[in-house]
Amino acid sequence: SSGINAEWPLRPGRMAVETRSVALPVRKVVIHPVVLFNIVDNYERRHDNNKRVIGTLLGRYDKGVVIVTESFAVPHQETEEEVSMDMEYAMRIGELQKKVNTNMYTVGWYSSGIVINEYSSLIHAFYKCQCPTPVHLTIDTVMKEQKMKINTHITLPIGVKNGTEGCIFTPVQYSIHGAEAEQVSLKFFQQLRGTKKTPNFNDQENIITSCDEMISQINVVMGHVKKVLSGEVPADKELGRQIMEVVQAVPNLDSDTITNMLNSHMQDLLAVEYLTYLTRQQLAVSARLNQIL
Amino acid sequence: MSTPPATTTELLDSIQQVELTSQVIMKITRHCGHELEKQLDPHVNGVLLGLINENKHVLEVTHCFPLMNSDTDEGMEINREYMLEMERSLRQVNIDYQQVGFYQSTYLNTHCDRNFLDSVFDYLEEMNEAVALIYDPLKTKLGNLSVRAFKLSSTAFKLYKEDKDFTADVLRDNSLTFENLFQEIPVIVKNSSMTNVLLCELDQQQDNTSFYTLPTSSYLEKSMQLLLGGLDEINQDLQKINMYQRSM
Repeated sequence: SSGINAEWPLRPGRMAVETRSVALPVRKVVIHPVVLFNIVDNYERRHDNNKRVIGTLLGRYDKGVVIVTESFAVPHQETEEEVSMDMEYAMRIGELQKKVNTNMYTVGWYSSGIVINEYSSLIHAFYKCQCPTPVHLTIDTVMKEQKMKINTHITLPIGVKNGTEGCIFTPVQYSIHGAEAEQVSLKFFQQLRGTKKTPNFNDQENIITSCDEMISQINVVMGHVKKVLSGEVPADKELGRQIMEVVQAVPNLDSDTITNMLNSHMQDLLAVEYLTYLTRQQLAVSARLNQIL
Repeated sequence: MSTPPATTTELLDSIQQVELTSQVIMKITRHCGHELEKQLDPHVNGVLLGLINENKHVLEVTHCFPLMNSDTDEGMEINREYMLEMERSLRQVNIDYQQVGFYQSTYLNTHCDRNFLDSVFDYLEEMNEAVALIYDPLKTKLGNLSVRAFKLSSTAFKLYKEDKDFTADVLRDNSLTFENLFQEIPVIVKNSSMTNVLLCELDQQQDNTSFYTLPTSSYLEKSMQLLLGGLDEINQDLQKINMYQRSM
């Protein structure tokens, strides 16, 4: 189905919805992974008679880029004939979340399933009075094409002035990007792969895997350099410059200085370990003495 | 209010594992990261929601929401209203609304203070199975997801109930030291099938980032500073005890 949905005039008796006239330009949407997890959980917990779920997206707007950082579900019912959503709930929870999370406001709404129909434009009209340019995020939880496709849209006005006017849902470029801590969590979850696992707070394993990854990456680069030297692969100037940057980033020290640095660092660590061990023994002795006295 | 346990061992055996979903961890990391942008040691805390699986002695945490920082009474009142409001609202969207504990961020393990002890006791008093989830943002930033669950040990709980201010005799008789004040409960992360699909999808879309920064010497320095601070406090207390005994 086409993405054109003309906004039909509201039926009498409905709440009149005012749209803000100033629309901010949106070039790109950055989605934090948290939002996707929230939506999937919302879809799993839906009432049985609902085929799709909707909710509000929270985040901030920064120079043409909408950054979506959180979301919450909004109760709604949808049948063949009509759609209804709890608008008061959306506004109330939106205000609460704004109070608790600083610098986070409504930036759009989401729905599961890839269908965009006239109900979507009605819901979009509601969100237009919450923020100037709401972003509509759809995620295909039904997985029609064997993939969980994610799409982001905004509406642009279309039509003839003083004639048939409406809005068209146009796609916007999106990227999924989280903060560092979120990426660490994601990396851990991907190691799970369907099993249960305890998050390990042992630094050593992490260092070992990082070293292995670094070694394999260096091997890849060295393989490429050898191929270029032997003439198999044509040399690429851009790549060559980048490799040189990496090589020059290594500080130019001779092996003695490096060994000295490592040793002194190791000595610091051993001294700290010894002192903490001493402190612990002191505390244990004083605890025993207190028991006796 | 649930009835107090008949024996202290009942508290010990009630929960042997805490199961988290990845959504909860993502929400906690998002909240902490958001606050960390402003200050180095934000006291971030929030409420955990979920359900208890009594057959398997597992506490499943399925949702969480953040609370505001409140040191004042007015702030706490706002937080209470906010919690009630959230409870009512979450019921409408089929999310488990039973509070099963709270989460808190830590800075080099400085979260262990009197406030923390009081909060854990308050939650345990209402529900035997409540846990406190401690999230370490600094360690997680270095590449190691650090989420641990704690509760008061049964002896600590019993002693706290009798007398909020532990006396030295009571501690000595029950051999309660800092080692068995809190009890750690193993945490496992479990995902639903649909979340696994989402993870596969994200795997394809994102580049695999690696975490190559090691904890630098500043981490070591700060830990040593905290250790020195703790030793200073012990020194002061010892001097006070000595002066008191001398004046007797």
